[in-house]
Amino acid sequence: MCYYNSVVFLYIKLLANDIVQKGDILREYDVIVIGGGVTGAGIARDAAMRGFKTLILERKDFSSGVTGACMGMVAGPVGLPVEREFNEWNVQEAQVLKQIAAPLMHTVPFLTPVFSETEAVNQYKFLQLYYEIAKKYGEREPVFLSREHALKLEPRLNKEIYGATYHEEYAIDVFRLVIENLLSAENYGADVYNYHEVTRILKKNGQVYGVVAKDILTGNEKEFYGKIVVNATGPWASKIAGLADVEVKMRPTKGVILILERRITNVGLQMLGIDMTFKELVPHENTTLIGPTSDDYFGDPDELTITRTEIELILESLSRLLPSLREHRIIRGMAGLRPLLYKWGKPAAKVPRDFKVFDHEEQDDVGGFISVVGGNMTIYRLMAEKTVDLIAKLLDKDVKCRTHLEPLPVNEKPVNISELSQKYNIPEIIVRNMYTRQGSKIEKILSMIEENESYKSIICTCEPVITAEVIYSLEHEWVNTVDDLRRRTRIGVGPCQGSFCTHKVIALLAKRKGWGPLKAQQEMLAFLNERWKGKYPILSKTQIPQEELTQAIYVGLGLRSINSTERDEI
Amino acid sequence: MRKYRADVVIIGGGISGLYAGYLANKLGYDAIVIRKGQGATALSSGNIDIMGYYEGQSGWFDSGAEGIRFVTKRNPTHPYSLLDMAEGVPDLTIEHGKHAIMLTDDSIKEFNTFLGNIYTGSIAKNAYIGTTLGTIKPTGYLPFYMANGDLSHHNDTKIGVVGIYGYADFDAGYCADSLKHFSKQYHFGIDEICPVTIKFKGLTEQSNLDPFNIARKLEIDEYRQKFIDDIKTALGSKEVTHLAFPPILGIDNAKVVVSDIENELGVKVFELASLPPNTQGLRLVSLMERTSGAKIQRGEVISFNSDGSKIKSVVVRDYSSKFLFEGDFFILATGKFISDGIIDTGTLKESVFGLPVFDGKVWVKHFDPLKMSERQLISPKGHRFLRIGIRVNYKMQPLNDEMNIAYENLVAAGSVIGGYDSAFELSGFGVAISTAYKAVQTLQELRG
Amino acid sequence: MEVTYEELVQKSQENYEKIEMVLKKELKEVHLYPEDLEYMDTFGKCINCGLCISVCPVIEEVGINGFLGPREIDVSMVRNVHHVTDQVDVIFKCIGCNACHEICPRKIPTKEIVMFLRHKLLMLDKSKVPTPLHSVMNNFDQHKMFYEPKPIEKRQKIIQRQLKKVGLPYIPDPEKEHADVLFYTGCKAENRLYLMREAAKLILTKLNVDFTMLKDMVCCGYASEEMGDYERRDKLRSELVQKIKKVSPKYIVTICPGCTASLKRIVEKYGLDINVKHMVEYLIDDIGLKNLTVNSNQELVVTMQYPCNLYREFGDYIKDYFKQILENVGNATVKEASISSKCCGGGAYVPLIYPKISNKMLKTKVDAMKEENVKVITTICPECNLSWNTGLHLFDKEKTLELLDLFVFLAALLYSR
Repeated sequence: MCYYNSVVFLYIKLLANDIVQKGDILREYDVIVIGGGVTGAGIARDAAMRGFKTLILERKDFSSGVTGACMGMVAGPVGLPVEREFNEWNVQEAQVLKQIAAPLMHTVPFLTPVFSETEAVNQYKFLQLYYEIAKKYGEREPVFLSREHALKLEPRLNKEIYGATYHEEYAIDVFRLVIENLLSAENYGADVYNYHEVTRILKKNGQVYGVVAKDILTGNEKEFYGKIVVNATGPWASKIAGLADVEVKMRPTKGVILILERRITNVGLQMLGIDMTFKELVPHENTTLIGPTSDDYFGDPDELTITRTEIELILESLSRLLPSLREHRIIRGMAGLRPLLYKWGKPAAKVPRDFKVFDHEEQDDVGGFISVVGGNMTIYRLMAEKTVDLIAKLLDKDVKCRTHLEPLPVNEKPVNISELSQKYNIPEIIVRNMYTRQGSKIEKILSMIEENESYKSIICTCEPVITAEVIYSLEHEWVNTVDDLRRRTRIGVGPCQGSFCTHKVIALLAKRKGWGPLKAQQEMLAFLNERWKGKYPILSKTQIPQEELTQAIYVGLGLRSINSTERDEI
Repeated sequence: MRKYRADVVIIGGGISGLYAGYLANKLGYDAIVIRKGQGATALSSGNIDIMGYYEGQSGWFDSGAEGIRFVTKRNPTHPYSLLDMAEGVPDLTIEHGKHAIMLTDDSIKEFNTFLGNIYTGSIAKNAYIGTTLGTIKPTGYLPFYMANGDLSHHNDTKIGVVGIYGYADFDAGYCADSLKHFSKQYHFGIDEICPVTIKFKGLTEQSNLDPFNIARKLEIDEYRQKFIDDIKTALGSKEVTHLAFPPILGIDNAKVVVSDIENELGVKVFELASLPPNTQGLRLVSLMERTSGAKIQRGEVISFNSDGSKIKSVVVRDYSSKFLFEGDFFILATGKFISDGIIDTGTLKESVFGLPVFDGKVWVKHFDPLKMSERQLISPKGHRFLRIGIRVNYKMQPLNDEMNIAYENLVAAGSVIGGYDSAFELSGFGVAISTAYKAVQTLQELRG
Repeated sequence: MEVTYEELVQKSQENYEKIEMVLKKELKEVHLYPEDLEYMDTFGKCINCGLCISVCPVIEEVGINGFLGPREIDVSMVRNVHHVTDQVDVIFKCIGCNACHEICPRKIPTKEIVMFLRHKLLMLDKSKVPTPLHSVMNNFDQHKMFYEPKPIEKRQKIIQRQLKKVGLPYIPDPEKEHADVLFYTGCKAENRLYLMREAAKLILTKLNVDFTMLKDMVCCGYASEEMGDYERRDKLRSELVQKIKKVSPKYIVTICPGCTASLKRIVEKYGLDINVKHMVEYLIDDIGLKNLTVNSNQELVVTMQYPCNLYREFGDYIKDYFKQILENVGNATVKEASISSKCCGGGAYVPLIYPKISNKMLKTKVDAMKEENVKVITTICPECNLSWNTGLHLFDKEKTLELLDLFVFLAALLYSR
C-alpha cells in the first residue's frame, strides 16, 4: 500500500514549478501538519523524531484553538461516576507526561463531595475501579473523608455533605506543553510556522501533494509540498477536510470555562452539576478555573461566544459545593469547541473521547491526506503516535515512536533552583516561577545575565517575569505579537493586565522584529485592547481604580488609535 | 477625641486640595489640608493639560482656549462650561468660553506664582511634548524640567534621548524612533532624534533600577558628576543640542540637576512626560506641600457632623487615633476612583459626604459594566465611567439629587467632580486648578 | 468489593492524617482557612503604581535587586500564598515601618500582608523560617520574653553603673499588688536598655504616680506577631492578661511603641477597661505639661527619631507630643531633620536576619544626620535606641553625635534640682 509514486510526484512538482511565482518559498516535506494545537504539535514532534522532514502550519498562534481554552487537567478518572467509561490511556499518558514534561505539571488534589450515603459508596467504588488501573502506575489510592474531615480540609464546603472522596490529578501548562513539543520538533529538523493559514489543499488525480498557505503577517501566499498532509485542526477539521473535498464527521461540543481572580479553595472540587454533567473547580496558579459546560454546537468555530446560561450552569452547579462561590470575581471566560468524533445517541456531555485517525485514501480515495479527530488533551501524544504510525506505514518506513522515551526540552536535566537563585542573586520566587515554564532551560536563560546584567530587570511585576526570559522567548519561540508572548511567559495576565509591562515588551519586540513606530504602537494597542475586552464586561469595585490609572497612563499620555493622530500642519 | 479647629478644612491633598489650601491661606484663612496618602497627582507627569481633545474635533486642539471654546458650546455640564457661567446662566452676549478661559488662565497664573514660577506656557497655544511611551501630546503649561521639551518650537535641533542601562522602564531606542516618526508627522523642525544609552557607573546595580534611586543619586554632587561624565562618554563625538530624559533628574532638587547637566554639557535638557513609577508627580506634590502655607494633617475623613444645612465638623482617623475637625468652610477635593473619592459599595457614591454622582448627563447609582465603558480601550467618546463624579453648580457647590445645594458651606474641586473624562480630553490639571480657584472664590463670597 | 458508608467513615481519621501529610510535606500546599480568605479580602487590590517603592527605606538602601519590595509583595506575592516557601528571601526583608502604606493611594496594608505571609510560612514549614528567629521562639517558650534575661547580680551591677554615670539614683521596683497605673517595660527595656527602664521608673516616682510593675514580665506578643507566630503571641497574651487582671489598673503606661500598639489590641480583644498609653502620651494627656516644670540651664539642640510603631501605627500627633516635652519641659531646641520620620532600620527582625541591610540603613542615617549638623538624637523607643546605638558605634567613631533617650533626659532634669 505504497502511495509514494515517485513519477506522479515528480510530474506534479514540475507542474507546480510553472505556477509558482518568483520569490515564493518552495519546500518539499514528507509530512505537512495543519493545525498548531496540542495534537498538531505532538504529531510534528513525533514525525520529526522519526526522521521525517516535517512542516507544521498554524493559522494564528499556537494553542489559540481549543487547546488554549481547556482546563489544562491531565489524567484522573475521566468523566463521571456511575455512568462513565474510561480507559487506561489517560493514566498511562499522565505518567508519560510526568516523565517528559515534569516542570510544567503539578499535582492537584481533588475532593468530590457526596450528598447521601449511597452516593458516598458509589463514588468510592467508582474511584476504586479507577485505582485498579492507576495503582499500576504508582498513583496514590483515593480515599473517603467524612463530613468532619472534608470540612476540615476545605472549610467553605456546603455543610450538608455526607463526606467526600479524595483523589489526585495533574495540572499542566498547556501553552508551554505545545511550545515544548514544537521546540523538540524543530530540534529534529522540522519547520515550524505560526500565522500561516492554509487556504487550499493541492490535489491532483486524487492525490494530495501539498498546501497553499497565506502568511498572515506579510499577506504572501506560499506553496508547500508534502507527501502526506495531516489535518490536525481540531474544531476546524471538517472545514479543512472540505478543502480536499473529503468529509470528516464530527460531533463538536462547546465548553465554557470561567476564570476567577484568585485562589479560593485549598484543593480542587469535582461534581455532577445541576444538569448531571461533570463540573470541576480547579485551583490554577493564582486563579481558579471553573467549568466546563458541554453543549452541542454546530455553528462557526470562529464565532464562539459565552452566554448567560452557560455562566449560570457553572455557577449554579458549583455553588452547591461552595456556597460562597458567587462572591468572587470572574475575570475572564473562555470558550472552546471539543472536536469529538461523530456519535449518535448520546447527549453532548456523554460523547465519548475516542479518537480516530482517518486515512482518506482508504475511505475517500484521496491519497496523501490524513485527518485526526477526537480525543482529549491528555492523550495527545498517543493520538500523535497512532497518526505517525500510519504515516510511517504509508511512507514505507519502519521506525518506532520514541516521544514517550525522550524528555521534552523543558525536562532535559535537573536544575537546582536555590543554587541558581543565589548565583545570580535573584529572589527564589522569580527563578521558580521561570522554572514552571522553562524547566531545565532556566540555566541557559539565566546565563544571559552574565553577558548583559540588565536582563535581570523585571518586565512584568505581576507574575513576575524578567527580561532574560522575555528575550529568550522572543528569540526562540515564534513570537510575533505581544499576545503570543503572553501565552509563552504569562506576561499581562496578572492584576494589571498588561498596563505596566506592555510598553516595555513592545520596545523589545519592535527591536527584534524591525517594527517601525506605527506598527509598534498598533501592536501595543492591539494587546491592550484584547486585555480590555476581557475586563470591561466585568469591571467593578476594586478593578475600577486600576482602569482609571490605565486610561491616565495610555490615553492621558497621548496614545490614540492611529487615525486620530493624523494631524494637519500646525 | 482631640478637637481641632480651622477656618477652612480641605479634604484631599492632591493638586486641587493643596492649591485650594494655598489660596485660602493667602486670603488670610486658617486653612488645613487633610490627606490620607498620595493619589493621582503624585502619579502624574507634572505638566498642565488644559484641553487637548473633545469628541467631534479632528485631531488635537491648537490651544487650551480653543478646546474650552469648543466644549463650552457643546456640553453644558462640563466643568469648563460651569466656569463659563458668570452669573449662573450662560451669558449669550459674551462668546462661548470667554469667561472660562479668563478664569482658567488666571487660576493657572496664580498657581504658577504659588510654585515660584516654575511653569511656562500659554492657554493660547498648546505645547507639544514627547512622552516615555514615544508618543507626542499637546499640553498647556510645562514645568521647568520640561520647558525645553516643546517639540513644536524646535528648529534644527538634534535631540539625544537618554536611556540608562538597567533602567528597564524606559527604552531609549524605541522611544527615539517613535518620537522621530511622530515629529515628522507633525512637521516639527527637529533635525535628528537618536538614542544615547549610558551605563551609570555610579550605581552598583545594573538592573532593576527604579527612577527614585537614580534621582536621589543624581542629587548628590559626586554622583551627578559621574553621571555627566558617563553621558559625555556615551555621546562621544556626537553633537546634540538637546538631551531628553526619562523622569530621573532628581526629586526635590531637580533644578540643580537640570542646570548642572545643561551647564556642563552645553545642551538644553528636558524630561519626557512619563507614566508611573515616576518622580514627576512627587516633585509637584512635595513642592506644593512645602509652599502652600496651609497646615497638612495626615488622616482619612471617616464621618461628618452637620446640622442639615451646614457641615459642622469632620471626624478624621489617622491610624489608631481619631480627632474632630471643626470648620467654617469645607472643600472637597478627594479625587475619583484611584483615591477612593468615588466608591462603589453596591451603590456608587462620593465617599466622604455620601453625595450622589452623575456622569455628566444623568444620576448614576449602579455600576453596570456594560453601560459604563466602550468596547475599545481607547474610545473616541472616552468612557462613561471616567466621567462619573459629583454634580456641582457654577460656583463649585455640590448638589444633591434634588438639584439643590447639598451643604451651604461646602465646595468641591478636582476630579471628584463628574462630567468630564480627563484622560481622553487631556484636561486633568486644567480642570483641577481652575475649579479649585473658583471654589475658593466662592468661599470668599460666602464669607462676605 | 462491597463496602458500607459506616466503614468508609471509620477510616476517615486515618485518611485525613495521611492527606494532611501529603499536602504539607509533598505538595507544600498552604492551607487557607475561611478567616484567611476573609482577611485577605480586606487587603484590597494593588494598582501597581509604584509609589511605595519611592519611600521604602530598604529599597532606597539596597535597590529592588536587594529587596523586591512592597510593590511586588502587594501585586504578586499576596496572590501566591501557596508558594510562600519560595518567598522566604523576600518577606523577611521588610522592616515594618509602614511608609509604603502611608503613601499608598489604595491603602494596601503591606505590613499586615508581610506578617500574614510569615505566618503561613511558619505554619507550613517551620524549618524554612530563618534561624535567628528560632532562638527567639525558644526564648519566648523558656523565658516568656524576647531575650534570655541576664543573671540578677550581673544585671544589678550594670544598672548601678549606668545610673551612676548619669547621676541618677536607684529605686527598687514597686511591688504593690494593685495600682492605678501598671508600668509595663517591654522585653527590650527589661533585658537590655536598663537605663531607659530605670529612668522611666524614676520619672513616675518623682511625679507621685500610683504605679506598680509586673514581678515576672511576660512579653506582649508584638514580636511574635511580627514573625507571624500567632500561636505564641496568643499564648503569651493570655498569660499577660492574667497578670494584668490581678493588678487591675486604670492605665497601662509603656515606654515601647511596639508594646503600646500590642497592648491596645490586647485590651480591646479581651474587653478590658484599661487605657493604654505610651509614656509620652501619659505625660502630656494625664500629667500635664504644667506639672512637669523644670528649670534647665542646658542649651540643648536635639533632633527626634519618630518611632515607626507609633508614628505610622498610631497617629502623627505623637511627634507633636514628643516635641512638646522636649521644648517645654527640657527647654531644648528641636531641630527638624528630614529623616526623623524615616525608619531607623531596627524593625521586624531585619537586624537579626539581614544585619548588612540594617547596618547600611543606619550608616545612611548617621551620615545624613552629620550632614544636617545634628548633634543629639533623641528617641522614645527601645528599638530605635538600640538601633542608633549600633549605628553610632559602627559609623560614628569620631563621636560627633550623641544619643539621648528622652526618658533618661527627663529623669536627669527631674532629679537634678
